[in-house]
Amino acid sequence: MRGVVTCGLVLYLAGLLLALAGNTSSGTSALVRTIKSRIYAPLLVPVWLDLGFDTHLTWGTPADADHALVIGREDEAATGTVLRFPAAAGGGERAARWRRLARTIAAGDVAGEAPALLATAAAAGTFAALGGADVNLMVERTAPGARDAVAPPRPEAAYRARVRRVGDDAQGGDIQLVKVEDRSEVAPLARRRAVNTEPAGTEPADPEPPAASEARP
Amino acid sequence: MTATNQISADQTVTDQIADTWNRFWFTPADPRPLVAVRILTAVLGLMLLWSYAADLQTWFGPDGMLPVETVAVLRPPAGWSLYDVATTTTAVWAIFAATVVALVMTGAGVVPRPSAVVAALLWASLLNRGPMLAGPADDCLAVLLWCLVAAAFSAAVGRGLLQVHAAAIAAAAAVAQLKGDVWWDGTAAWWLAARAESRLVDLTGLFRASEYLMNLTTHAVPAFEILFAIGLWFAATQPLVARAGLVAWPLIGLFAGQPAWGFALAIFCVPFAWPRVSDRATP
Repeated sequence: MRGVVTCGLVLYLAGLLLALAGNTSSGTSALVRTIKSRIYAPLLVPVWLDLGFDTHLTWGTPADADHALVIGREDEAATGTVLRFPAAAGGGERAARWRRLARTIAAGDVAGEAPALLATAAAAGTFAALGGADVNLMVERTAPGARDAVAPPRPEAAYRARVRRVGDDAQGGDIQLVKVEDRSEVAPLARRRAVNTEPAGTEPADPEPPAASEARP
Repeated sequence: MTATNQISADQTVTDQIADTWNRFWFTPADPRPLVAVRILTAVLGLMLLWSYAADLQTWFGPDGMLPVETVAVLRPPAGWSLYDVATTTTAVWAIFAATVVALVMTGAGVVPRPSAVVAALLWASLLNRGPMLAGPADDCLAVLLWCLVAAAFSAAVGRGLLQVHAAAIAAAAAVAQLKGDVWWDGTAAWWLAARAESRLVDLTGLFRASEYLMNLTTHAVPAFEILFAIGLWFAATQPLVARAGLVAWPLIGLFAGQPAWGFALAIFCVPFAWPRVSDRATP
């Protein structure tokens, strides 16, 4: 019996080492990634043991700041309805989960297209609560102020997008996400005819972000 | 050295490794500390479940913000959740309620083996349903639950796994932190304290008044984590670092705005805060 338990323990400890080595923010070698994904991931992922435990707490970067998800209708000025997640400042696991979701969406610029899917789904999930299928989503980031700063930190938009249902509402329609870039990140118009060929995501139509004043219902 | 002596020396080394392995994994362990771990883990699990309860349908409901098809793209291919097949509000609540029941039964020690297995599986299922919502405390709870599954079959193996994971979590946290400049230049404590929305205690006034205090607080966190990860492996220091961990981990968690993570790591310390019965009997 000890032999069987020993074999199981050796196999698991090897998996633990691979999980630690393969789940760091520094990246993973192809060797570790391949062994882990082919042999251990099918065993460790479903039971939530494919973990790196790289809890850095903070590196003082914008990504470590407090994030919040703010979603309001495109015609917000008329309705005044805005949802904010988490609803209010404060610690606790519930608020932390919303902040992690907001941070994942805000990481879209560096993490590929997948977070855009998340932003689309999160915004579409509020259509019913907001009573409309055309909303503005913003990830609001409040970076901590420097130690010698006098003024309190001001929230800034880390990610902005307009999410709407297009097509026939009765048949469900498609959900479209148009990311809103800061004006400073959009290339200046060199020629007037360039206006007609500009992609939808970089149009100067730049909806104001929803105000983070209302608590979620 | 003759061939006979060489073989004898090799056997001695092999025997020593085997003895050490057997002593670590198979020396009968006092089950009483593991009962405390079981109860505290259940308490932590219920706390973390509570943090899901209010937004459960907002996230995972039929028209929630995290549809199964979106999450399936974002999580690893092997990820799977029982919630994936819950297409109604009632089904989502039913699985969630089953998790609560399994955790309560685990804490109470009712049919310990099946309840620990079911609790661990249902908890993993909840995390796999929304990986982007999971944090370090959730990871620690998953590990604690699987250690309890092992402990339900063998207290010694359960205790050994708790020790391995406690050291691994502390070491990995220290390594992760030391990759950031702020942990070297002594300002990490400031960046944690200055997070106005998520902080639980406001120490910015103290850190503004004393840069040395800010530096000391910063350096103390990874220093403790390293000492903990190493000290847990020596009989002479194990009770000391474990008792320190009972206090230090919750304090670090509170300061970093991760109280549940601090509480979870303190639970890992419980079996090691007092010497083993077998260790005390050995002269």
